[in-house]
Amino acid sequence: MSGMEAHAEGMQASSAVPVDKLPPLPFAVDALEPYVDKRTMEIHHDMHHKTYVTKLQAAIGQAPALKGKSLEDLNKAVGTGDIPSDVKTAVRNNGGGHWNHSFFWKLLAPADSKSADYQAAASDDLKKGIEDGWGSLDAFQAKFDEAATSVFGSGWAWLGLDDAGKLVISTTSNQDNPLMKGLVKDAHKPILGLDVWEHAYYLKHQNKRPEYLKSWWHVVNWAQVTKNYELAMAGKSPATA
Amino acid sequence: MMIKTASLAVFVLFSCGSAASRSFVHRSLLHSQQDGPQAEVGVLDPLPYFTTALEPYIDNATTTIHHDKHFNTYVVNLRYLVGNNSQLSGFTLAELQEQVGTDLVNGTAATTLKNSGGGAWNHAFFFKHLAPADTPESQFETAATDDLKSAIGAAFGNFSNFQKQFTTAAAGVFGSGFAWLVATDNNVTITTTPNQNNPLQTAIAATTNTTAGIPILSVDVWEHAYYLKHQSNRAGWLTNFFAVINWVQVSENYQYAAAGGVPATAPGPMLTLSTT
Repeated sequence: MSGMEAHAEGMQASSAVPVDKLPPLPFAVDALEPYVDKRTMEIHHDMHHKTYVTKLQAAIGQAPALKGKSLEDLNKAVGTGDIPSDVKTAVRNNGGGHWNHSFFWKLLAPADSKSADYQAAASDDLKKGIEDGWGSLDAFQAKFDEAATSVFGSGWAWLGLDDAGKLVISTTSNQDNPLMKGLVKDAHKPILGLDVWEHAYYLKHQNKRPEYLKSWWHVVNWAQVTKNYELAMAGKSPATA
Repeated sequence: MMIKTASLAVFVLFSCGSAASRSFVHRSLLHSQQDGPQAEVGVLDPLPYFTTALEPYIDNATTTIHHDKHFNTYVVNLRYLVGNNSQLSGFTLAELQEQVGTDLVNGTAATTLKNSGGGAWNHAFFFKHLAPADTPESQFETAATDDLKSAIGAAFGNFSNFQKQFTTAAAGVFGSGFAWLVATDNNVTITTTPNQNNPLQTAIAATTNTTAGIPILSVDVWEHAYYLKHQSNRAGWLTNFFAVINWVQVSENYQYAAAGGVPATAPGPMLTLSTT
């Protein structure tokens, strides 16, 4: 396949992680140091995320009707009648966990990379979308931090595109995500997410979630946020692989 | 089941006296008269043991941060909440749990009451029923009362089965939460709650499939309770937890519950390691 064909195919659909595979991290485990520590990356990926993949497999094993569904479709089916009741909690928790973490790894990049440089890597459209929504990057970050800090217990904070084409911030608890329109009140097309489960930051920051948020902004992959934004604008799913 | 009326009478007098500013008509449940003394709302009490004393089962850093940071935040948040909502004053820490989900407060205040009010009670209760391993208190066989042993035997067959079922329930909590042994009527049963909810929050228990009842024993399975030492290995935490349970306290908790009262969360004597 030529480079141009590959590119055209890439624009057709975003890359999606298989339901049964733990995707590799797109960088070395220590690449996000000193902002996200190596040990957290190892355990977060190799233990927590892997467990979601394993348990999702077990759930699908018990529900043949779900075989062959994409990870995204499984997430979108959560809270609707389409998931057999004996596996619905397992699919919600582990299907959510697998999608969320696959989505999340792609949205991180080493701090000194061009992808992590907002000015260089964010598209003009994305910058305009953020300015339209909050006035400035700083104001957006403050609002996002507020949302991420407000999550009580385990959960996630999200930036996404709503049906009106507006960027919105929302939060979910546990491993729920904005794809789960059957149960989440602010469903939207996510383009950026942040894990605020304690396992995402406890080794380095302990109870200090605001410190984690400060660190995390250094390693946000704005190039991927831009790609997700463009995909969302075109009605397509964000990348998870 | 023996009821030690003399000692209970002392506690009844104590708990009546501690809420003299409120007439009984404000108490949501008559059993408040049977409650053990509660930690003062808005006050962080010290632990009844040194933060190193639960080593190696619970590490010093975790005990310190868990108490001084997490627990303290709930206490402070509750202090501000009660300070800003006069309808919340005059309730004991236990009585505030029973107000969760009622219309005593609404909106964000209701959420804070559940989350921080719950957190304040939960941690006062949890830390009080831990003891250094190798203390007499931590040995079930010799420290648990016959009443507690009978209740556990009746509900689970034997202690080992109880430990297995409690561990399974605690391992099964998804996200943050607690597992509990609660007394309901004359039985003990295992239940769980998400976040900082607890089984005293009777108005909302059904919404989380929680059995409402009087807590006897709890385990915190928020990741902050175990992550520094165990990381993702919650099962390892749960094994270690069983080495540091204060069965004298759990027995006292059962005694209160059997009389229809909430166990004490007010501080008691310091526990010291045995010298052997």
